[in-house]
Amino acid sequence: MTKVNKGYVVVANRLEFYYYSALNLISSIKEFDPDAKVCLVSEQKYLDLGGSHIADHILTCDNHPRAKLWGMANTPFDQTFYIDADCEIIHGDLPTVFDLFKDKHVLFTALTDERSYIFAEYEWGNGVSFDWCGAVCLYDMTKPLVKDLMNDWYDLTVKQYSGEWWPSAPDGTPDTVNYPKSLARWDQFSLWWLLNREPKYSDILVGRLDDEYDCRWNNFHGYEWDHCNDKEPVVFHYSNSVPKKESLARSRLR
Amino acid sequence: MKAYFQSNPFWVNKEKTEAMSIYTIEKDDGTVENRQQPVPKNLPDGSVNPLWTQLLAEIGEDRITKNTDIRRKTKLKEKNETDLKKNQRERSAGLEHLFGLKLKAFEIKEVRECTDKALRTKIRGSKSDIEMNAWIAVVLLKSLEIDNDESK
Repeated sequence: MTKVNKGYVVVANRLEFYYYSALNLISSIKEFDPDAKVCLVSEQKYLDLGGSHIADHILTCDNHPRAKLWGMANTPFDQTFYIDADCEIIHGDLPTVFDLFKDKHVLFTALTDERSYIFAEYEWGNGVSFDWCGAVCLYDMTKPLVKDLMNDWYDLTVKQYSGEWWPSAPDGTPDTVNYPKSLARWDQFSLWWLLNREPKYSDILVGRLDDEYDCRWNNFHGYEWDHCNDKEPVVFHYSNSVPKKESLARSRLR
Repeated sequence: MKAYFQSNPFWVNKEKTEAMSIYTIEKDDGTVENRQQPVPKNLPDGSVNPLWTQLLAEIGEDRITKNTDIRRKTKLKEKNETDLKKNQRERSAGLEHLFGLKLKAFEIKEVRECTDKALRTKIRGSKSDIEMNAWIAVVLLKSLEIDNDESK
């Protein structure tokens, strides 16, 4: 039987903050999974700062806001656990994430009603809401459908961001009634579209990394209370942290 | 006028000689008054409190005991959740502070390029500013030694 090649993908572009966060994240991955193989995806200008030797694979990306999807699609691993750069591993259960596939092809953490107080945008139109959070993703690229999904997710998101794609109303114009334009900034929307409106992906098996109330795999720093039950968080997510805000502010001044 | 107890009274003492209740008075003019009503068994003169008699007749001792038990458990759960939230907020704040420091450490070239895995782990695993600064100092010292060796 061929050995499945497993590893982690981390993408850092657009801000130095993400690059240093990525180095910190990779360092924490190696600490809690010493045999881990990690692929760092970043812009050349950040790689030139040094420190990338801690990664096992390097991919050079551009400065597109969603280069992370390109990085995910170009993973060198069969089974990949993608983690947002502004995360940190804080528990030794990290390698067990690869046991969570069971019968699924792709797993995300869920955007639930219970945690919706923290989301910038969640529900739209007639009660339809985003299902999945893209901060972490476990996916199996040995499944051709997953490979297609990852490539399509990147391609569609690029078109969505540039205004080349939007769902059409019956008269052929962009359907901004059922799909408000405010959704255009979210790659969760292109993902939602592919998984819910694209017949090609009707057979893809998408699952949830967390059990109900459990947020071990994307313990968002902003949760007032994480409902982690008795389980310790594994991935701690610093989205919206002070260092990130400061870095964003600096980049806007430049 | 109609006056009655809401269904949620509970005992305020173990001896079950006083209850706390919400007493509703529906007045003839249509207004309704809800008031928090302590119901001791006896009045100051020692006689049985008529409200006590009414309470036991309307709600019954078993129901009040059951309410007391539910209330105790709810309060305990609320306290645990409040404690948990407080602990999580404190833990979050601590982790974020350390996260900020680690990123600052990576701005130092010698730290970023440090190839000593054990030292990197020490910096990353530091639990305080002082501990982290100490390990950063070790990295800087080591890099000086390397520079010196190379210049010999």
